[in-house]
Formats: sequence, C-alpha cells, structure tokens
Amino acid sequence: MSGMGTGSVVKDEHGRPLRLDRLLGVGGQGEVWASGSRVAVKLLNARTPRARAALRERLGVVRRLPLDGLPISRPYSMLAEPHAGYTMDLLADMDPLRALSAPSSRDLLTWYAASGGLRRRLTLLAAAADALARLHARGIVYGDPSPSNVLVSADPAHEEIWLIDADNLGVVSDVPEHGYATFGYGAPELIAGTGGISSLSDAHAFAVIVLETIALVHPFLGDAVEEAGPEEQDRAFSGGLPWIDDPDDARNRSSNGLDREVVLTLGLRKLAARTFGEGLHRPCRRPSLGEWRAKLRAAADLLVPCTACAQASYVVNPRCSWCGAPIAPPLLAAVGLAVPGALEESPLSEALAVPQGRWIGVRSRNVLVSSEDPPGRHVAWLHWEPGRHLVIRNEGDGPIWLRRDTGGPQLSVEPHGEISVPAHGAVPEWTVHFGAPSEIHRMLRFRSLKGRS
Amino acid sequence: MVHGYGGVRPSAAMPRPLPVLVLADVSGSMSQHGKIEVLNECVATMIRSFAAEDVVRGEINVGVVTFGGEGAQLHQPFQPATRITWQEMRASGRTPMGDALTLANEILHDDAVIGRRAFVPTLILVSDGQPTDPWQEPMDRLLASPRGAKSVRMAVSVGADDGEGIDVLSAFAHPLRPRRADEAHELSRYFAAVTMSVTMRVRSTRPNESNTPFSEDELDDLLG
Repeated sequence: MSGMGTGSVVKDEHGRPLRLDRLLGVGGQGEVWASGSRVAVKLLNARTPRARAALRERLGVVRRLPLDGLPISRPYSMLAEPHAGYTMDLLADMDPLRALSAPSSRDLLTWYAASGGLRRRLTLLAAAADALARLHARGIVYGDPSPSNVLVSADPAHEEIWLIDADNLGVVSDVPEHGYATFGYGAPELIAGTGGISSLSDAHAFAVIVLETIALVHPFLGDAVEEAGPEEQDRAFSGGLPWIDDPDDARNRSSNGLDREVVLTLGLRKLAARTFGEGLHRPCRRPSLGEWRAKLRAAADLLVPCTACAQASYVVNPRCSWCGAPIAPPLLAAVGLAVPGALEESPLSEALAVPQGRWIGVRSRNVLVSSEDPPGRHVAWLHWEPGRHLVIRNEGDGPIWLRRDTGGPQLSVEPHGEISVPAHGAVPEWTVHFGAPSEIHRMLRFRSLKGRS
Repeated sequence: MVHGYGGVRPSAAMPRPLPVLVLADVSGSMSQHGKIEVLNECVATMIRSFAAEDVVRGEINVGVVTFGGEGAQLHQPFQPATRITWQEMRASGRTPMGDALTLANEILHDDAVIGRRAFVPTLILVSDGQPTDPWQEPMDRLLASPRGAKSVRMAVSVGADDGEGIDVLSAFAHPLRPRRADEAHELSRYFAAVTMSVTMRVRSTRPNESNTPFSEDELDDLLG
C-alpha cells in the first residue's frame, strides 16, 4: 500500500517535489494520482528494493517501445525512495473513464444523460478501442485496461482519450510473469495464472469496460453474486460463473443496469456474447479490439437525437429510448464504394442515421477511402428536410459531388462550399460522392428504414 | 418525468459494506490526561476520512462499542461513514472489556447489522487498562467465530502499564502486535495509520483479501 493521502508530497529521482492532488484510480499494483494538471504519479504497493528494480527494468522496456502517435502517457521519471513508482505526462482536464461507468447518483437515467449519455460513451469507447487496436497492431500489449487507466476529456464537449499506467505495456507473454491485472477486469487466464498478458486479455478487460460504461452493469455481477458474500464476487471475477446475459445459463442474471437491448446494438451484443461466453476460457474466440472499434463506431453512427430530451437512441426505435417521445422517421445514409467502370454497386458496409431537420456530421472515417485526416474529423455536414431539401456542406479538402438517381448533370461542392438540392420524395433521390470520379471513392445513398415500426 | 425507458427505473448494484468496528475503552481512567478527548477526535477524524473516500464497489460502515461504567454499549450503531454524525464518548467507571467483546461478537454475527454481502470486517480495540470483568472466554468465542476469525484486528494501548491489559490486546490483535500510544499525539498517528489501512483496502480491487493490507513492516512504516 502506498500509505499516501491527498496533499502528500513525494519526490522523483531528480528531487522534484510532487504533491498528490487527486486520486485518479487504483490498478492492480498501486494507485495513480494527479499532481497538478500535467503530471501523474503512479505509486506502487510494493516498495521493496526488488519491486523497485523490477519497475526500473519495466520502464526501460516501455521507453524503447514505439508509441509515437498513440494517446499513451509515457513514463517520465522514477520516484525517489522510500517510494516506489514513477511519474508520467498527463493531459489537462481529464477524468478517469470511471466517471462514466460508476454512477454517482441513484437516479441512473438523469446521471447517465448528464454525463454525456449514450453518444459520448460510444464515441469515447471507440477512441479507446482505436488506441488499443493500434497498439496491438504494433505488437504491443497494454496489459491492464480498466476504467481507471483510461482517461477521458472532463469537458463533455470534447472526446479525447488518453491511456495512463503504461508500465505494464509489453510484448505478448505466454508466461504469467506479467500477471498484473485489475481484479474485475483481468481475464480468467491472468487471474488463474495460467496465461500471460496478450491482446486477447486486453480484449476481455475492454469488453468489461464497455458493458460497465454503456450498460452500467458488470458482466459477471449478476443478482446472485451481488446478494451473496464477497467470495462469490471473487469467483465471478475469476471466470467461475456464466455472464449475466448468457443465453443458455441463467444462473447469473442481473436486474441492475440499463437494458442491453436498448443501449447496445446487435453487433455490440454479439461481441459481448463472444467475449464472455465462448471466449471466457478460450481467449482466441474473443473479438479483437479492431472489431470493438468498428462496432462501437457503427453504433455511434446509428444514433438519432430526441428533439424533446436531447438524448440519443438507435435509429430503429420509433420513440426515444429515454423519454418516450416520438422520433420523426430518420433516413439511413448507406455508405457504398464507387469503383470507376464497375457496374455493380458494392454492398452496404456502413450506414449513418440521418435525422429530420438536423445537421449531422460526416466523418473522414465514414466516407474517405484513405486519408491523412484523423478518423473523427468532419469532412462534410448534411441537412435533410423531407419534402424540401438536402443540404451538403463540404468541410474537407477533397471534392464532393452529387448525382441525381433519375439523371441530370453532376453537381459539385468545392471545399468550404455548400449546396442545397430539392428532396421531394420520402427519400432524397441523390447519391453523394466523396472523391474524384476517376478514383475509387465512397458514396452515400439514402434509404428509408425498413422494419421500423 | 415519464420515462420511455420501459417505465422502469434502472438500478445499480448497492455497494458492498466494509465494516469497521471500534471497541473503545471509556473507563474512568480514560478521562485523565485528556485521553478521551483525543480518542473522540481520532474516531471523528477517521469517520470523516472514510466519508470522503470515493470507493468503487464498497462502502465503509462504522460502528463503535464503548465499554465503561458497568458494561458495554453500542455507542454508534453501524452506518455508512457518510451518514454518521459523531456523538462524543464520555469516560467513567470500570473497564468491562469482556462485556464489549461479547457485544462485538453479537453485532458481528447479526445478519441484520452486517449482511452476508459485507467484506471482511476490521476491528479496532482501544484500551488504557486491565479488564475488570472475565475476558478470556468472550475473547475465545469472538476469535473462534466465523466473522471474528476472519476479521482484521488491531489493538492499541493508551498509556497503559505492561500488565494484563497488554496480554488482552495481544490476544485480540494476533497475529499483529498491539501498539502502544504513550502520548496523545501517538494515538492520533495510530488512528491515521488505521484509517489508511482501511482506506487502502477499499481502494484495492480485492477488499476481501484481509491477509495483505497491514503487515507489521507497513504498520511500522506508517507509524514511523
């Protein structure tokens, strides 16, 4: 244990005093404190010379890893004795993701909305999945994902994420020497000591974080576990019980949290089922962080805001999932690939929900085939008023052009330009192209929603 | 507000209680040298610290049993630290510690007070003298009881002689050593260490692991 409280001062190896201002979180091995707004301090529980030496070695490894361009805070300096730990960079005004997964009020719905609702949660989790997926793509494993290690913008208007606690970063290890994992997030093979950290143990922890953040329930804390003694919680965290939504085993059902059918798309529910069902004890069955990133982004793209309460619901719901107000039928803008010379249309791969009478942003990841832009950058804005108009504003650097399905000339929208075209029918008969006609590019086609009742 | 959310109000899991039971000596001798005043301040400070703790899956509950006068009393029934308004303890009379151990045992095993959801309890015994009633049998019973045996137990002697009093505290705190606070400020430091040990347990993600939180070395470290 660190034995430190708020306001305590520790020194780093260069003699720099650091005041522990705010406890950011607790991980498998110790605590992370914010010191001022730019520095975080990790204090290890173990303070033996051996633990200190092991940490120094780990930090040496982490410093050599290729982390450029990833939102991960690099260890900066070791702490001076008698403490064991290190300092790392911090972005200003970040909170642990725990602020969005651990309700601070009994009135869950109000608290959920006030802390950013479904849309912000999906967006931040997609960004976290992106960071982990890119880390994995470099052959690096994070080791200990938890709601305390993922920091998110404190300001609800911003959607930055930042991973701290990087001393557990490593390469895939078969041996459980790296067995540090936050209890409740660590994969069963880590808790049991039968396996080491891997991109798949990261995937288990991340899936737990998704359930907790979006549905406000831990996937293994069903009612039976919550009502039993703490030993049962240990058992659940170790993979000894089915997960709460196991389709074949109802032993661990939960009446807590938000309805998964309401807050998770079918795609996300399938990923959860693969992780906590077949993947619980067979890591290779778990979906990768890349799959989570794709489904989280797809879910965020399918949200429609409610005009009454401003909360977002998935496009298939005729009424707001939160306040029950009817939602004017939105469109789907299906993303397709336009291949010059090809006659066949590519099948639908992604779609964006287009609400009535609201500007919606089209991001580079939605419509650009390859781009140097950050994936979240808005390259266009779109406004649809049924029976009246469809407006396209080009915010990107490339050409956007429209073609009427019934024929007629192409209409081009230059960067920073805007165009308004008539939209008489229930569905605008326009295809919006992003990219030069002579190159492979993506396009948006509008469809009404079938099965929306 | 009418919720479209199925008309149901979703719930979150209640935090698991982490019980802390203080057994406080309020015999007449505690009124000397300002000891009872210091002890009151220590317990009040501890409760305030617990209340300020942001805990993920647990909630620190505090209860206080006093022993003085003619018997033991439940001075502060178990409550989440956030909801306690501390009432000062007063010192007078004898040192019926055996009675306090019996009462502590009853409270620990009352499922209405400490539900089965609770984490392993922490027991803190504070005394400045020898028990004036039979204590061995209640002690044996407490230590052999299901929750008593598992509990984390700590003891501090407040300016006491090395007599039977220390033996009792040793038996209680085993395998930890009882601590001595010869001066009032040492008692504050002791309570700060105890507070920290409980805090560390609830902050940890395995609060039920009672074997690790408080080794002798770490206690020395904290008291140092």
